[in-house]
Amino acid sequence: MTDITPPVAAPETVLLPVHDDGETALQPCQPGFVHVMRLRTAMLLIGPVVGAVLIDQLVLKPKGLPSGFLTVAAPLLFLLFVAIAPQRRFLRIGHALLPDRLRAVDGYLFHRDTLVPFARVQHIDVTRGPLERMFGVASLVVHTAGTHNSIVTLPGLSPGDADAMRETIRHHIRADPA
Amino acid sequence: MSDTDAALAHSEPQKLHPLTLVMALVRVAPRMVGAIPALVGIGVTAGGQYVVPAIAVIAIASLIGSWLHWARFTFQIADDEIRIDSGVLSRTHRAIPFDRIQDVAIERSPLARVLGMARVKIETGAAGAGDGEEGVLDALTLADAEALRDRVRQYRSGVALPTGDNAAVTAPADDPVVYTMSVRRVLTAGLFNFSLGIFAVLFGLFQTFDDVLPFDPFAKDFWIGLLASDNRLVQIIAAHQWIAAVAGAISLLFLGIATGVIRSVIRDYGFTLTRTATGLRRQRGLTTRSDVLLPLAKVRAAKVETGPVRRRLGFYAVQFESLARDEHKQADHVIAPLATDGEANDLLALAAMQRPDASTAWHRVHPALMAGYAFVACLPVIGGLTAVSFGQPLGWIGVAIAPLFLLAGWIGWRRTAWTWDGRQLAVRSGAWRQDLRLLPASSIESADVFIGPLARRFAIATLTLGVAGGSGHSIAALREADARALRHALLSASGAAA
Repeated sequence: MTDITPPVAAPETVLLPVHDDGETALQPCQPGFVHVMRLRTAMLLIGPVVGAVLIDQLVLKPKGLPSGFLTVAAPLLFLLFVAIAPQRRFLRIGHALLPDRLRAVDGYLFHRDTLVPFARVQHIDVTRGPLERMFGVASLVVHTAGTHNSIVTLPGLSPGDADAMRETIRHHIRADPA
Repeated sequence: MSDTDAALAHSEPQKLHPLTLVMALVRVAPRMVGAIPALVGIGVTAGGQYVVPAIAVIAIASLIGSWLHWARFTFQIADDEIRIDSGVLSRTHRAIPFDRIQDVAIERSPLARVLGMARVKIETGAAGAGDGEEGVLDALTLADAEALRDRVRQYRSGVALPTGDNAAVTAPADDPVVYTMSVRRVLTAGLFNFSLGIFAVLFGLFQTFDDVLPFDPFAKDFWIGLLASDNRLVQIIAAHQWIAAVAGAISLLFLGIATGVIRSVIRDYGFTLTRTATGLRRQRGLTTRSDVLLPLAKVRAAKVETGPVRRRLGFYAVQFESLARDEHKQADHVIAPLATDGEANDLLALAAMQRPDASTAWHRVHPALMAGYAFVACLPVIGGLTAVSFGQPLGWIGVAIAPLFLLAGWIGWRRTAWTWDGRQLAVRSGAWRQDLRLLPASSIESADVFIGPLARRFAIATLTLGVAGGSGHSIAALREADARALRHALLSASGAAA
């Protein structure tokens, strides 16, 4: 029986020949996308931050409860997420069109590196929201049939690149991947 | 064309069978239960003489609703698609191409079996379709239902198997049986289907009918009153609390096993799996007999599961994953609830998969996986110590849980391993309930290497593979270099490479 075989020790070496997936030159995203990220985060956080400061000043302070901490911490966190984090994430966003697959890399603290073979792509969207339009960028959204990770987004492309990539990938899509 | 086609050779839109209305009639009765509070309200406020007319009004309204639904529901079997028009006020026109049909399930409730009817469920497996009820025909005669299924099957076989093995398609009786469960096997499977779910049901019932029942088994007085008739017994139990504990545990065990056996018999009685031209056909069930078709070309992955006792007896549960969902909204199709080693291997071979043999070199995941567990284990310790510092000695329980949790995690880690043979990825996990997942490279839609803040410290990564169906495939705590190399190997072998 196969299932009761004792497992081998944790391997100390790489098990398979290393491939250059990790070394392919990545195309960075457009600098304009930093502003998009900033504004998105700012719009998301401005409400809670103002709320926290108001609670601190109008509820905790008059009641004599320990106050002041939220008034300092909330705007500091806001600055961290709006001023610093987008720049760091921007440096980690990249994509590469390999001969037969698409590579999408994103994230600073939570780093994600996705490969999608062209032949597995079901359909492709190029999306441009109001913010993206304002800063001259577009997103390429690739859908696969998978029930997990089925949507892969490449943010911060120039609209021309996004359209060109869509055309490139479209030519690789098979009629019926089933 | 075959005889079965003749039964359904309608190109015009047709209605569901009129007997559907009879079935709706019977279904009115359970629906009346929901109206009981309203009826009681009428009886109390307006007087008892209005209750019977109220019942009649509700029943008639309900029947008119059923009739309208039936009258406005038409379906049409075209050459390559099914069209369903439904809706009384807002109309829905739906077209389901045979090409997109993953599964045609035939379900028969006890009433439907008496009337010779069947409910047909057409699944297209659209990933975002929520309930998975894209097309339900409730109800057709059994002959029509089977003809419809054969029609779809025949169409699909024409697509999938250009050689055209139509003889096997039109004569389902000749399909070879690849797995079947004797009554004895069903009962054995039931023993491993231990469940205490019955208590949730009982508890819910007692909550609902709190005021209806003349007694409340969750009140202390109920038991004291019950036992007061024999004071000696009460004294003995009070003196030896362990008697009550042991008796309670034994009755729990017995109830759990009995529930499992009953559920297994109801669900799996007469479990038969046949090999058709395009896939597998599964029939099972005691009261509601279900008939499900699973095209083998749509099978993406397999799961082989076993528990501590089953493993010693050499029994395994086999499931196939595809985009279509099984009955009861299960993601995976149960192919064999309880199969021997050999049977499991034969079934997996049907979908071109095999379990790694004894000589396989398994690769364990990185021990840094334990760092994540340790992080989680800190939470009860912190919570427990906080409680202790506030004078609550029960907080020590939280502190005691942490090492047990870590021990369980470590045992699980020792068992978690993967192996890749150039064609198929096998991942095993779980020390107590052991899972083996088989994933052919050709099923992989996308591959994702994820590194979180903690994983970065140890240079490890989680490899997640996108698969059309199933409940997700990922391996946590691979060395980052291994994750990338394995990903490259998997995608290169997936058949999607240029």
